[in-house]
Amino acid sequence: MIKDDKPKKKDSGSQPVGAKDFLQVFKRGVQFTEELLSENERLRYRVVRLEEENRTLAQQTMVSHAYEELLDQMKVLEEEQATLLDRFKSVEEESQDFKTRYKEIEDENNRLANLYIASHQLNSTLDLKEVVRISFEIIINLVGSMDFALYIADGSKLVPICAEGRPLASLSLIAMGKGSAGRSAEDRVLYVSGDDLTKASVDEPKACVPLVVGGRLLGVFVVFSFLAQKTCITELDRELFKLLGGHAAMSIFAARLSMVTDEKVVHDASSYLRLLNS
Amino acid sequence: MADSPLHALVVEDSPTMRQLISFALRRIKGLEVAEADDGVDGLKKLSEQQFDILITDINMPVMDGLKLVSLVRKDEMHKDIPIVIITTEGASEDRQRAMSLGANAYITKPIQAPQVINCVKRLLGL
Repeated sequence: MIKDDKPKKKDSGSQPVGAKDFLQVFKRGVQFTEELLSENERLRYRVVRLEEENRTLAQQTMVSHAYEELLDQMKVLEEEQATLLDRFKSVEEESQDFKTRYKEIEDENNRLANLYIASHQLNSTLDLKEVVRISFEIIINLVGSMDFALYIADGSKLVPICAEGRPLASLSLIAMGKGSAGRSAEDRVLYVSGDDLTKASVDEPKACVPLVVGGRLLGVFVVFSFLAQKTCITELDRELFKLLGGHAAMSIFAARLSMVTDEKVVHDASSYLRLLNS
Repeated sequence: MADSPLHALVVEDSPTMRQLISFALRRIKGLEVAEADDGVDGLKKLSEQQFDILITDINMPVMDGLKLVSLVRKDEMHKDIPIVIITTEGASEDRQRAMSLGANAYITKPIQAPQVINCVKRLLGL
C-alpha cells in the first residue's frame, strides 16, 4: 500500500461540493497511480528474480544433463573395463598355457638332447673299450650313478667284466633267473627298485638293464646305487636305460664282431650288392 | 644383450658330458662355445683367447678342475672370469673347496640342460 505522506490540507468546509468530490477523485487517482507504480516496481523486481531463478534452473538442467551423460559414459567405460578384464583374464590363461607348453617343450628338448647325445656317442665307434667307456659315461653323467657293473651273459651265468665304484674282484657271478639282476636278464625286462636309491647293495641292486640284440641276451648293466643327490628315477632315466639296453648292446656286439672279423671282411661295393640281392 | 658374442669355455674330459654341456650352452643366444679335454688344454685355450665364462669338470686326467680354477684365479687376464664347476661329487666339502678356490657356482651331475643354461645366464647377467 502506498502511504500518502503529503500533509493533508485541512478541509475548510468552505469549498463547494463538486470541487470537493473532484479533489477526492483526484486524490484517489493519485493514490491509485502511486499504487500502480509501486506494484509495477514490485513486479519488475519479481521478474528479475524469476529470470535469475530461471537462469539457475537452466544451469541446473544443463548440469543434470551433463551428469547423465557422464553416467552413461561411466557405464560404457565400466562395460569396456569388464570386457578388458575378461580379455586380460583370457590372455593370462593363454600366457599360462604358453608357459606350461614352453616348459614341456624345454623338457622334451632336454630329453631328446640327452637321448641324441647318448645314441650319437654309442654309435660313434667300433672299439669295444670305447663303447664300454661311453656306456659307463652315460650311466655316470646322464643317469647319475658311480656304483655299477657290466655283466656278460655266459651260459646260465652272468659274469662281471667291468665295474665302476668298486673292485671287479668283489663282484660274484650271478645265476640266470636268480635275484633282481638274474630275473631282469632272463626276462629281458628293465628292473628299477622302489627302495632308497642311494643305499648301495650288490644283492639288492637299484636298477638292472638287460642288453639285448635281436632278442639275444648279451649281458646286463647292474646299478648298485645312485648318486646322493639322485632322489628318484625319472622318465628320462628309464628312456636312457632302454636306449642303453638296445644301442649299447648293439654297439658292444658290433664292436666285438668288428674286432673279430674286420680283417676278413671285404669292404667293396660288389659284396654289399651281392648281400642285398641274396 | 651385447652386440659382440660372449665366449664360454667348457673343460670336460668326457665327450658325452662335453657334448651335452655345449649343446645346452649353444641354446643361449649370442654365446659361442669352445671345448677343452682337460685342465691343461683348458689353460692353453684360455691363454689364446679371452673368455667370458668357464665351465669345468672337477675329476679330469692330467689336470683336475680344482687346480685349473686356482690357476685361472692367478691369471691376470681371467682372474675375474665367472667359473661354474660341474662334477659328480655332491658332498658339501667338495662344493666348499671349489668355492673357496674361486668358483662362482657349482652344479652336480647328472645335469639338466635348463639348470646349466640358467646358471650361465645368471653369471653373465643375461
